[in-house]
Amino acid sequence: MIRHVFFYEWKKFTSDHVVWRSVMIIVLLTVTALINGNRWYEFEHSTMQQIVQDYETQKDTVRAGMLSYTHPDGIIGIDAPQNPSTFYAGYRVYAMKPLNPLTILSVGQSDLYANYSVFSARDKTRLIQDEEIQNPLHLMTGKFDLTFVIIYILPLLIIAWSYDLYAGEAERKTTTLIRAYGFPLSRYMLYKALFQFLLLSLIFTVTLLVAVAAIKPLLFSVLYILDFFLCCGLAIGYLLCWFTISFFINAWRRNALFNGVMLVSIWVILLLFIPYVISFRANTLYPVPSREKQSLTRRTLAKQIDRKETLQKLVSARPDFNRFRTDTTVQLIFEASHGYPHFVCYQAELEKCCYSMEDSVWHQLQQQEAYCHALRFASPSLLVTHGLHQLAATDTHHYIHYLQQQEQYYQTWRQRLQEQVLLKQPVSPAALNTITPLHWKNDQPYSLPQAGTDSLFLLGCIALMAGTAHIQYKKP
Amino acid sequence: MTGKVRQLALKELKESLQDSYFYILTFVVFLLFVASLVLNSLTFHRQDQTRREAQAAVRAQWLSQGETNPHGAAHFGITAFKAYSPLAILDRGLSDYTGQAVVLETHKRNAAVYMPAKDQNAVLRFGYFTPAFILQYFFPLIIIILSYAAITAEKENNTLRLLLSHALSGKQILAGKILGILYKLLIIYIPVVVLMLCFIAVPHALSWDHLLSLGTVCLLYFLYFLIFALLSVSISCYCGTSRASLLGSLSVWMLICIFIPRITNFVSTAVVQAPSTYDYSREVESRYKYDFSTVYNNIEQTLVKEQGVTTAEDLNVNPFGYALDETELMGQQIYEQVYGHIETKFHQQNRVAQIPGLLSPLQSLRTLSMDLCRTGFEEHLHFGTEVEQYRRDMMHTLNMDIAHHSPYEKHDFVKKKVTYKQDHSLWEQVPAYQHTFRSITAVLKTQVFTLFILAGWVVAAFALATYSYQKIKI
Repeated sequence: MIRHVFFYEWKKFTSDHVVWRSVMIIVLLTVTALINGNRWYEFEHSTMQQIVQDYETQKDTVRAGMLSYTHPDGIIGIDAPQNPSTFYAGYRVYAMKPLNPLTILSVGQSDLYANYSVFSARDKTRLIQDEEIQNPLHLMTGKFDLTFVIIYILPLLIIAWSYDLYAGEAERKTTTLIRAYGFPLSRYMLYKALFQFLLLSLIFTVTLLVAVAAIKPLLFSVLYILDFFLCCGLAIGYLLCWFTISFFINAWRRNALFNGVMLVSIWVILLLFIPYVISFRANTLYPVPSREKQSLTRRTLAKQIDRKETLQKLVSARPDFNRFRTDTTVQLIFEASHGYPHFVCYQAELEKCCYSMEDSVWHQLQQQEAYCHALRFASPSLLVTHGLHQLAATDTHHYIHYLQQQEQYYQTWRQRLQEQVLLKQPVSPAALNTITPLHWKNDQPYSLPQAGTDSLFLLGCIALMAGTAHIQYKKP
Repeated sequence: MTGKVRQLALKELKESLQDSYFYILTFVVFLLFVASLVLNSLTFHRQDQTRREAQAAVRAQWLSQGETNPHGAAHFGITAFKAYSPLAILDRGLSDYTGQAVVLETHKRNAAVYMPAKDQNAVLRFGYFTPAFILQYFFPLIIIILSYAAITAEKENNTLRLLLSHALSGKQILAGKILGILYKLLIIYIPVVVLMLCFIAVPHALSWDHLLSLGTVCLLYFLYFLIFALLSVSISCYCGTSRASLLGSLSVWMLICIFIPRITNFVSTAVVQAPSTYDYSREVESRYKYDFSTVYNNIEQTLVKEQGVTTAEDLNVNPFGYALDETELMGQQIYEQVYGHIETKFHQQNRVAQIPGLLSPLQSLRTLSMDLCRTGFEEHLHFGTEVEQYRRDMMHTLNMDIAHHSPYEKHDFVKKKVTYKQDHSLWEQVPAYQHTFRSITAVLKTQVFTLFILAGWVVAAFALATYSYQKIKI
């Protein structure tokens, strides 16, 4: 029977050109989305390569400067590259979160958060702004990536295909014929839905594989192939979920119009309404501290911190830091007023307080994310989006993790140079090789247990809906 | 003839008023709209209160900083927070995707920081539930539901023949149907406008300018709904069944509201690619390479020559203040070029986006709605320009104080010890930062083309509807 149903459906689909039109739409959307995703990936990737290259150039220039530096008095002046205060102020290091090639499938939050940062010990950022410069209109609308196609567009195509799964047959009076031949209606409908699902999945998967092979063959390498297939699996699970929803709605045997309106309403609820309600609830439960208030606190601290007292406290704890007062072989900026030692101690104190403020924001954001993550089962769109973003490491959780590491890296870097300033310890050319800029590594990938839970839940929902629909079809 | 058209329209309305679906639909829309208005109103008040308090506290901090060197005060600076009009309750626009505060300090022009989207969970990117969101996405759906069967139902019930036999032409039937939909639309929309007035205009005592903006926004939304009504009725004329008509109308909705806005981003970034933050930062760094000592020495020599004194110690002004002002000016020019370049790129992208945006009235409506609610792109640029002008004036005041009041000290990076200090009398000379919104004339002046596109859509939808009545087949 299945063969006959498949053959009949295929004839129907080819006779009114539905297949070819759908193939055209899917190919066009998938290729455009992949090209767009890849352009973003390449843009960020090439910028990061430029940063690494510039860093190496800076290192070579500074090393050469150190080796050739001479001062008429035989001291290390403030113009010397090895001078700790000059090095503190001017030597740039970087931290970056290299984009996973899977970003071409799921841009996620990578356009919102900074993927790289360049700083010196004195300036927490040497860039004109923290995040990538983006047209705010584009940020608001979001990037046209494959996740958008999978989550928003393909369900619409499924609705267009399957809204009259039953009603179409009923209107053509073929259901009477099916019953007359003794075919169980429930199985007939199931085979029809299965055929449509297999056909759409086949078109989508083949298009995706060919497009990825042409645009980003790197995804087929050993490193990424498993994640890539997990992405494909999630997408196909999502499509199956939508076919089951349609199958379920059709099972109530109302007219095609009712089915169409119901399916579009479900689309609006699952894709717009539920995500908003969850997001709003997360924001209310775990509000992020006011940035305005944080800004004020920072300003107050900047005024309150007593530079002399802070320096004195530090010197009392580490008497060897007193060296900056006695050593005359190395000059510091504004040395007469202890300007630089005062400044580095003040900065350390200020950054310590600011870090705790920033950390409180990240903590609340993580709570929000955990809440949304726990409620991802409320909508398949949330579940699959979360999964795709996690696989590509472009979700907020990964970015917070990176930002925390970046902050810690900066604090360590600043502290290391602060000691050198107070000890008036020149930076040696050899020390340059010991500096390792931060290349973030994803140590929290989309785990197999999570993939298992997500898949089981999705399959459970599908089985439940399909089962209910099956019983419904069996009713006379 | 007009009487017959009106009669038909009233019959349409009467039929809907007898239908329980119409009431359910109206109730759901109202509920959603009221909920979004209340939630956004609360958010707005909380944020506005925090911002006002913060701005006042910044001012108090500035005035009470005590005796300090003016250049030290310039480094301490001021933080300017972006203010929002109560119209933001209706449309949050880009406020979640632009920085909310600018730290104003000497030597550099900082970008706006604290983008709210970065401090919210990722689910936000599915869409923010604002009244504008409901008007832009949900209202067209309701219009489609109200109008998809306008002609097809008559065909399916075989009443079209009856209507034509009552000496009604196809054109009159169409006009009657459109009028009927407009009546239904007004029944839903007028209370929505009243709600907007109650939640936005009345409690905030809107200025005439903002009241006019609200009125314009309401009118533009009505035009947007009219476009959907006309498109839906036109589709109904072409289709043989209500099912096909609904599918066609829904496809148009998805194309206009979901697909085209994203594809325009793709097109505009493909045509105009803005350089990265890193590239711009390198550009600033490479240009910002003046040697302060050289500038200082040049100014000192010029002043000595101008005043006819033998040594710099005899000058009646401090060249250090002038040197600071000169380098500030050099920095301003560099930042102006770089930020100007970024703005140009964004403007180019927005202009390119208008071309595929011709296919979606939502694109134009959204831009106009945001800008009229003072939450759009142009308003953000205006905020940037305004705070930069404020910063320049502030730095000039402080630098000139050093130039004219501080005693001469030879500048030395190793030995320098700051002795000159000023008190609150100078800090008071810097006025409090006050954000001003652009006037409605200024807003509309920048959106003439967008207005034309929306007007073009109305005309095109009317033309399509007029043409479609010829396609009505019995």
